[in-house]
Amino acid sequence: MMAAAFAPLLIIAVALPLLAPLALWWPRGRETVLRRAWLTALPALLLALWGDGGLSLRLDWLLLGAEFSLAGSSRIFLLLTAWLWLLAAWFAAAYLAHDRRAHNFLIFFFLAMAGNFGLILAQDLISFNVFFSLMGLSAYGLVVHNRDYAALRAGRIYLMLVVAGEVLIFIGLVGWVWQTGGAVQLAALAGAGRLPAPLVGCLLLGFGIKAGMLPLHGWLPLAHPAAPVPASAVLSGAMIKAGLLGWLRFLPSGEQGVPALPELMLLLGLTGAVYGVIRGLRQADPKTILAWSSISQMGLLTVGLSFYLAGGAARGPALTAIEFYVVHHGLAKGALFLAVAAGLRGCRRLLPATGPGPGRGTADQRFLGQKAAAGRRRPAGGPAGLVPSGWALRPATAGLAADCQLPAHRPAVVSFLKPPVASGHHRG
Amino acid sequence: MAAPAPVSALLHAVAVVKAGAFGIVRVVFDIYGLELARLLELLPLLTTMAAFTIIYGSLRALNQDNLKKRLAWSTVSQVSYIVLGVGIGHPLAAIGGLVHLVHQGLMKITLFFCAGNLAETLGIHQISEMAGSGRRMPWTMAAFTVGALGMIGTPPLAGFFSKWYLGWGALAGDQPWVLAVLAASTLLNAAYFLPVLYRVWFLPPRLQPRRERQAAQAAYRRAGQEANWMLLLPSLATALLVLLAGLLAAAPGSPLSWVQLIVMGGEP
Repeated sequence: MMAAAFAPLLIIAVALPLLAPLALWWPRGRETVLRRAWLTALPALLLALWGDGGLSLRLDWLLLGAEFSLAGSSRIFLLLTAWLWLLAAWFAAAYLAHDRRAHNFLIFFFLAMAGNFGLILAQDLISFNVFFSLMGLSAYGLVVHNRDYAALRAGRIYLMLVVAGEVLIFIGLVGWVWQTGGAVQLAALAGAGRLPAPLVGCLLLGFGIKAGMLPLHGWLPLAHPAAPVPASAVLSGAMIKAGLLGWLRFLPSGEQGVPALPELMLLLGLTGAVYGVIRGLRQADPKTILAWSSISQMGLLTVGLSFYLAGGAARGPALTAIEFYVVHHGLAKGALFLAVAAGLRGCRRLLPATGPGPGRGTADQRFLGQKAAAGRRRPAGGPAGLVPSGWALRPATAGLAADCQLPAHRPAVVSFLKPPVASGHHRG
Repeated sequence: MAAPAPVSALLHAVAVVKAGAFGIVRVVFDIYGLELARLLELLPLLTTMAAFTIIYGSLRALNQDNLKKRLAWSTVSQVSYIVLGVGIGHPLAAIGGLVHLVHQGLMKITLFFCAGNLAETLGIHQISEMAGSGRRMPWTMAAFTVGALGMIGTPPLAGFFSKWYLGWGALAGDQPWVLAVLAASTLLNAAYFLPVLYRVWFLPPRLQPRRERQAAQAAYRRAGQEANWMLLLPSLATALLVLLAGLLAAAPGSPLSWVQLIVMGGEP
């Protein structure tokens, strides 16, 4: 009974954000769309909260036979992702209230959201690939939104890596379909033959680009800080997990596995976990620190994945740990990014290293100070400034409590301990 | 290439280039037959030449500033996918090659129609002049984007499924090196189409008064700057087909299902 009622939600959850950009066609309605953007993530959230794992929808005529369901890890990933996108959209309403190109941002925001939800729900190779590339390509528009030098450079590097990643993933998936003899359903992968090691390598690298795996992490500390804050929050909190989900779904494990793969991932993961923190220590821009922290945290998740891929008795607990950590890191990182804009207004004073130089960070923080001041001045204009800041700060504290052993968060912690600067001071 | 847009659209999508590709398909499958061609060891030669053409065409397309020239070199590269599919000598690759005959036609005719719209409406022929044209002709450029992304092989557009079957056929036919050719070609396609799309959608328009006046004289301007609907309609229709041929690839009546019927029906 319940399942029947929720089945259309599988389509609506993806189709609503996919078609939402059309609502931006009329310039008059754009402000309303911006204010109501969070509604587009609502069906996915409802689905994740109340749908059950057996829910599935098969469309034989779509692509090469598409299937969507909440099976496996999909539900927990969708729960985190939908919640983060909803908060980011809510936050964007205040953050972009005075941005003349807000509609431009929203087009890519909605498309990336649709891609992110779709790839989680997809239970076949092709629709996973479709939504994965939709998300990856649309995120380019989010990264370059500010159109300054740093954003364009980050966008160019990001796009090059995304296209390279797409090609690698394509080769890996073609390898899978060759092994399954034409079946594209995820369920068919378990019964398929062994994927040759070079093709597994393609999948590892292809998804590794998205997940910020160590030698391919270069785009991440550039792109995540360059994007506007609500986009950074979903980039670092939700979209980065798509690479992990790809690994989880398509890297062969147990008996199908490639011998040295778990060991390799363990090594890469541990190195990433340490290296990300060390690099983060020396950064001054809070958003760059958070991006390096993401690399470090994804390293820990890679370690978990290596246990999962090794198979045996560790498989079940490793999956639980991965799912739990994904939710933890997603919420904490999303909150930290939102808090950078909404709550940590003192950051500018507390980071003297940035100084008045031409660094991107200072301009950004000055902008944020103005934003916050604007939010103060006009409390009646939509969900302005203060509401999301309260929302974001609560989980942010939780996230810091869990993460404060990482020295990378030091400036953020410091800014919590010192009293915030009065907003009037900023505007002077 | 030098011909008017509708002529070059047809030349590059169906009329001339496809006759050559069709000829090769007929010679291999109908005159020699796949078995004899394999016995005579002619197919590796065909595959190698196709692979070389794919890469060479893409490399030449990279440094063309004239939009139609770039599209023309892209045709050189893309039509060789068909030959590649035939040359691999596996039914799955043959599906990929043959369906590309239709898919490439749809995508390339869209691109040439859009190039024609640009030339007629705004007087733009060079890629360097295309900055901001997405803001001025959103519909034309949306169709162009669909065609270009399809050429790169972005899922779920038509070109993706050609590459999917070509790659699958290459693995099944035990010629994995073809995957490297497909990968290189995809990267090169992205390298010569994505900068165009960047220019179109992400840069502000640069107005050129002289050309603007000419365009006005041509009476192709409505209140906005979008192309006349008679120019716009065909490009939108073909762009929609590119999308549908991919989205509904498994549905009966799609190019892919027809080609599967043809190839699998002919093979024992």
